[in-house]
Amino acid sequence: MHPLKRIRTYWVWVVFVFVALVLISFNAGKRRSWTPVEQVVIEITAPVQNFIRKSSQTVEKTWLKYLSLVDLREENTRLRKEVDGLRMQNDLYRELASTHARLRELLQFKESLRSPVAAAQVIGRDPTGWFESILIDKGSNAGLRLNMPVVDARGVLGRLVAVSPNYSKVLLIIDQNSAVDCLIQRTREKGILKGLPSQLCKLDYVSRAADVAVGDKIVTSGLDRIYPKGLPVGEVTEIADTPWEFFKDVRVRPAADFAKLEEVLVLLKEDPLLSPSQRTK
Amino acid sequence: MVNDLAPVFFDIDLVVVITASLLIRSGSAGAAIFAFGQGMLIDLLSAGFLGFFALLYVISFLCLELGARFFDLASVQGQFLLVGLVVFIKEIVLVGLLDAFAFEVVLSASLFFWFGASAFFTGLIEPLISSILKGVEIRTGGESREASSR
Repeated sequence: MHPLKRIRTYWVWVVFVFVALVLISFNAGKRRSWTPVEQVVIEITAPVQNFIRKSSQTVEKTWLKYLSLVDLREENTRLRKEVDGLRMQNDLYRELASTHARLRELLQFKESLRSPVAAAQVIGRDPTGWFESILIDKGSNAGLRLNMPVVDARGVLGRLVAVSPNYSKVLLIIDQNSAVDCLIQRTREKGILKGLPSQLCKLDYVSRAADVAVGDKIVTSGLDRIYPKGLPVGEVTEIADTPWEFFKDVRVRPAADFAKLEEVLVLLKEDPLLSPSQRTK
Repeated sequence: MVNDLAPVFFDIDLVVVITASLLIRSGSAGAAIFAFGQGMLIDLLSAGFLGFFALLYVISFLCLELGARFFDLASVQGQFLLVGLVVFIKEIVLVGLLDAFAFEVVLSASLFFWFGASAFFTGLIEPLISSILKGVEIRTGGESREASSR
C-alpha cells in the first residue's frame, strides 16, 4: 500500500474515534431521545430488523415443532401401548369380577346345601349338537362317582353319567335321555321332567286334574334318589290340556342357563343305583 | 322351533371329508379305521349311546366306498358330488336312528334345506382338503425318499 494512502486511512480511524469520544462525552450522564436523523434511521431499519427477527422465530418454532413431533410420535406409541395394557388389565379385572360374582353366588348356594360338594369347571360341551352333555375337570380322584347330581347357583343341571380319574361327563336335564322326578312347588303335583330340543323341558305324567299354572316353580321330588328333594329345576311356561289325552302337556323353562355354564357343583352323595354289595367295594 | 335348531342341522362334516380324502390317498383300511375311530371318540365325548356315531361314520364310509364305483373320486366334480351325497345320506340316517331311539325330531322342509346346505358346503371343502393331503403326502414322501437315498 502507498504510504500516503496508509496515513489517510489512519486519519479516518482517528477522526471516527474522536467523534465517538466527543459524542460519549457530550451525552454521558444525560437521558435523551433520538434526534430526528436517528429517528429516520430507526424508522427505516426497524422493519428490516423486525422481519429478520420474525423469520428467525418462525424457523426456530418450526424446528422445535418438528423436534417435538418426533417426541410426540414416540410418546403416542408409548401411550397407545399403555392404553392397550390398561384395557387388557381392565378386561381381566372385569372377568375376575364376573367370576367372583358367580363364585360368590355358587358359594351361597353351596352353604344352603346339606351334603358335601365338589366344585368343577366346565371344559367342554357335547361335540355332536344332538345330545346335551358337558365335560367337567373333576373325576374319581376328587371323589366323584356315577349318578351324582350336578347343580349350579340357579338349580339342577344334571347327573354324572361317566367318570374317569380326572374328568366326568354330565348328562344335562335338557337332554332327551334325561328324566328327573319333580314336584310342582305350589301344589305338590308330581311329574317327570324330560328334555326337549331347543333347551326346553316338558313335565310328563301331570294328570289333567292337576292344578298347574304358568309361572309355577318346579323342584326335585327326591323320589328318584339321585337328586335331593327341593332343588330348583325350572318354571312352567306353557300348558296344553287336550281333551283326548290322559295327561297335560306342560312345558318348563329350566332355572339354569345352559348356554352359559362355567362353574358347577357336584353333590358328593353315594350312587343310589348301586347295590349294597357294590357300595362296600 | 326348527329355526332355533338350524345350527344343529347345519354341519360341515370334516370327518366325512377326511375319510373320503383318506380313501383316495391311503385306501379303504385307513379310511375305515379313521371313520370308526372318530365315531367312537365322538361317542365317548357325547351323551349319545356308545357306538351310535361309530355306526354312523362306518355307514358313511361304506357309502363312500360304494359311491366310488359310480363317481370318479380322482376328479374335483366326483369328490364334490360323492361327499355331498354321502353327507346328505348320513344326515338322513342320523335322523332315522335318532327316531328309532325315541328321539323327538321335527321333520320339516327347513330341516332338509339345512341338510342340503351341509351336504353342499361339505362337498365344496372336500377337493381342498384332498389337495392339501396330497401336498403333504408329496412333501413327506419326497423327504422320506431323500432320507432313504442318503
